[in-house]
Amino acid sequence: MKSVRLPSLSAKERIVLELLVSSGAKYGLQLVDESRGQLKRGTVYVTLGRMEQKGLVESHHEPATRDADALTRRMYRATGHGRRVLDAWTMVARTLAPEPGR
Amino acid sequence: MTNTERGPGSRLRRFAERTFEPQTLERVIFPALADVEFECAGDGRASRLVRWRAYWGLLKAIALCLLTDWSRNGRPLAEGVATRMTVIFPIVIAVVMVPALNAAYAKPLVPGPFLLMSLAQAFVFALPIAFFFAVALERHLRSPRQLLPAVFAMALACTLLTMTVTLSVVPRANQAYRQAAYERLKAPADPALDSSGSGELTFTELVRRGRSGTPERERSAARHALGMRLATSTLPIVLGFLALGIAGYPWTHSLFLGMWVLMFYVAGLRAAAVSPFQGPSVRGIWVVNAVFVLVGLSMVWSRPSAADAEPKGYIIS
Repeated sequence: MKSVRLPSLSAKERIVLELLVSSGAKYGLQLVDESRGQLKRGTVYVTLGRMEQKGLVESHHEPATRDADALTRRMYRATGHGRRVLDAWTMVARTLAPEPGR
Repeated sequence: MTNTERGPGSRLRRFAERTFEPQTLERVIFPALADVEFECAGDGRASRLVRWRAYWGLLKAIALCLLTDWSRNGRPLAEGVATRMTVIFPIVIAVVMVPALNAAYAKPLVPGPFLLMSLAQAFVFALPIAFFFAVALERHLRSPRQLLPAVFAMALACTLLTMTVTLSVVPRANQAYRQAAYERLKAPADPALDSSGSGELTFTELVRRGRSGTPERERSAARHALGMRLATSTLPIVLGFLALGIAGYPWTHSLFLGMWVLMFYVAGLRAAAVSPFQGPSVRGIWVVNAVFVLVGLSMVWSRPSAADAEPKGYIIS
């Protein structure tokens, strides 16, 4: 049987994926606000950049609505690969969690 | 006046555009900046606290990116500079040690400890000078995006090393020399020989004296000595950025430019002196150092690109 290596997923990446899977596409700042202090604004963009490189999330620019020189915000959403990685890690966590009463 | 010129985060955006790789800009910096612009510029509702939080987050993101970009792009440059430093450092230290060698052989009171003490002190000056020449001689410099993180990281490492030597090794070497001289002279009638001077105080002793020394004069002297040593330790950062500024120009230009810049630097330090008979004040050194780091950075950003430096040639039809 061909062995499949489970992609790594840090705690922060997992929080980001959970938020994106549970409530759809979001901006970086929205993720920080909705994580209730688990994500910091200084690191969330670096985390998102790394996740995009790993193929866990994808992003697109919002349409420009303000000044032409102003930067457009970037909206992130989980990819199919990201969803599957999150599911796999959730299953692993459930399997390894100690049973109550033991 | 456009939003880019005066909008929130516009200065940081200009800095980032000149410093980071396009990939890092697109993936990390621009999304962070766009959110800051959105949060702060909207309709003027953003309070000062919100602005500060936004800027602080942005600065942290930029600092993290400096580290990642450095590990990706700066390593070859750092290796080149480190190789040159290992060659240049012994030459510079030999030159700096010439007066000490002359003195040791002219007055052989305790030449061993004297030479060791002089070596520790020479190290403090030789390291930044070797770093300056190593950066200036690195001729494969390309865009500031690859240079700045690498040179900044190296300058920081040299500064920490200089700080360790200035605040720990040099005072101990001074102590050892005084002890050796005292033993040799055996002059119990002269108690001055048995009391330590400010040059023999290590970092912890300077801090302790600066806090609780008596009388007040001793306290202020300890604070002054500590400030001077910390200010001196930043020399690699200043010289590193000045060298980086001149390194991108053709040889003849960089030679003259480097001489002029160093002369202005020394003149700046001289101008920061309290009187013609004293060295520069601690605050003066910090101000002059900060100004010359900015001069180095502005030279990096304003120098001709590789395409401009190459001869254009003629088309003969």
